[in-house]
Amino acid sequence: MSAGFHDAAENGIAVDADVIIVGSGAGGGAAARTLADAGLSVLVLEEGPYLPSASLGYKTFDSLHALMRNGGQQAAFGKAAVPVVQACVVGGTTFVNSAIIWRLPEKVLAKWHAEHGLADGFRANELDDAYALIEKDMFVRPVTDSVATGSDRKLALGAERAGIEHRAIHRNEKDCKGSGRCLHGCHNDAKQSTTINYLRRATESGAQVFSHARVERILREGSKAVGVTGTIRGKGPQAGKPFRAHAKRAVIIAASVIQSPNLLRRSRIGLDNSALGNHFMAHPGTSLVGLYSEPMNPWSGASQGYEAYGLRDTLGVKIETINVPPEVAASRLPGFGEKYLSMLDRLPYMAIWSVALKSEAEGNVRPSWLLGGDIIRYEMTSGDFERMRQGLKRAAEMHFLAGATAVLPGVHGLPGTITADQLSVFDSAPLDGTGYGIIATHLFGTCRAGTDPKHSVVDAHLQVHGTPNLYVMDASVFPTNTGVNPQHSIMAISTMASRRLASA
Amino acid sequence: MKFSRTEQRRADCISRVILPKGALGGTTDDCDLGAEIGRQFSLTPWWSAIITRIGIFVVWYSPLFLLRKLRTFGGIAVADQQSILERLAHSPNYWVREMSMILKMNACNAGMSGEAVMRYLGAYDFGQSVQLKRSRS
Repeated sequence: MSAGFHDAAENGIAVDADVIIVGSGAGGGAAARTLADAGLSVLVLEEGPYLPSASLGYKTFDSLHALMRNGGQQAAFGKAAVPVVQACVVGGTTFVNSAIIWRLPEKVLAKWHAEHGLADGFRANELDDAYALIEKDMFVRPVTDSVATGSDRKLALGAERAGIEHRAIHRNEKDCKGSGRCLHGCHNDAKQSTTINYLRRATESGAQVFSHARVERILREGSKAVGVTGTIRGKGPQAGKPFRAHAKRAVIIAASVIQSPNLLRRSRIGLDNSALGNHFMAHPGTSLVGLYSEPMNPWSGASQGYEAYGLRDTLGVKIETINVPPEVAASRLPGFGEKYLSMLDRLPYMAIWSVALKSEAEGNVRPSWLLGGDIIRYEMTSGDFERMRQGLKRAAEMHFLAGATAVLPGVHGLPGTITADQLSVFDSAPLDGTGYGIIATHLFGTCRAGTDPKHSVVDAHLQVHGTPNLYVMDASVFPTNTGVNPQHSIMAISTMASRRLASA
Repeated sequence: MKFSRTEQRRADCISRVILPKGALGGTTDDCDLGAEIGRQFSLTPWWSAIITRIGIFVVWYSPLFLLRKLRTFGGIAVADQQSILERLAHSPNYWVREMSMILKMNACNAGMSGEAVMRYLGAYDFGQSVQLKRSRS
């Protein structure tokens, strides 16, 4: 384990610091680095394990089991079960995502200023300054030709011919070898997860990062937050023991859109706040497979290398290439018997694109008092599905414009494969979640920021209303969803708020 | 939760209908699908594992109500087994379709995660695929 990183199950936990940060993903990593650089003593507590790249495998089930919350089995429930993928590991979801970097769109920021009173806290010039620092430190650049895939080139061609704006995806990586295994954790240490970048920088400035440290309550004296309590997980002499840690200056919750509100609720903070745990939002997405006559070899190259973003403002849809593991791709193919075997043999000729939606739906998250976990309720609207099927239709059209011989819609009630003259089948695709294979990524909103303490959980500086010294710094503070991948926005907003905290 | 031996045998039978011997150039043939699914089952949270358990039970006895035959899934012809899985996958009931999809996912996770399959497909760092070599030559 690198210097500054500790396994709580082996060593126990340091008990005092200026700042305690709960969670080590995008928000926690950025806060840790900023505050440690400012000279404060910082303690980062992460529930999941620390996994060095040498320990990472390539088998999907084992990766899910090792890296993801509930072994990748977490789901939101409405009419359908929607998997909600979150890592539970040092580095959080930055450890398993595709490293896609987008600045917060100006229109979204303007809406936050106008409708949520965040002009004072979320200043454009401060955010720009934070973005620039992160982009430099995280080696952000467009996907290079050396790791671009056949699927990437097809998306570029299809989007160009369809007249939809497109670009090579910008990622935080250094010396990517195009192993196609981002979703299992980068075994080349090329992806700049917070584990190998921001947390490491933080430890160089004195921060201490503890894995297997599950925080269960926020400690308060009067209304002021003064520390945390929790239980040590993992395997080792300290495993199963409770711990208590004190913070002189602040406690920062950066535990994710699901865990952060539930930690507040378990700590009996904000129970009378109508926003706590509500306004859960996401970018639900589904995939569309194009069959080509030339090999796409969808398991080598950048895991996600190209995107068509020109439908964001009209349909609220972004189309991206995505390489998924062979066993996952195979499980979504239609048919059984000879039909299925023939499909399996064509796996290397498939280009898989995801269609991600800026959904208008809102759900909620609550702790499960009985099971000790989290309950997520989420139901996309019929308007969402109207736009989803239009997005799928445009993506299918792009596949055909790029030369696909057939498309696999993957939607219940539609044919298993369609040709270019059957695009209209998408017009009759179902308008509820039971017809689609949807996964929710990019979560937002359950501790939304705002100036009204009755309808928001944190203020414009991310301090919890009515609880001095307690902050939330993750995507749960976003008052709306963003339409783009949120890691960069989370890190920038966390950097900005941490700078203010350090100088206060 | 752990599989019983009976469940493991049934899981193997169902999974071999999904991923029969000879699939992907025979690269899945050596895999004991039932044992691997049993291992994964033991690592899965109970609320998810229970869906697999129910799925195996439903599929095993589905010939009774889908084919009106006094047989279990293991006692009918392969063509009938495939037909049953196809009908479950297209069921009007969402949860039946999900159960069917989970069984397919279990079979693929168990049978297609091995190095031989990865090498055959040219996935990750395991070399270039057979198909790619053929198409380029």
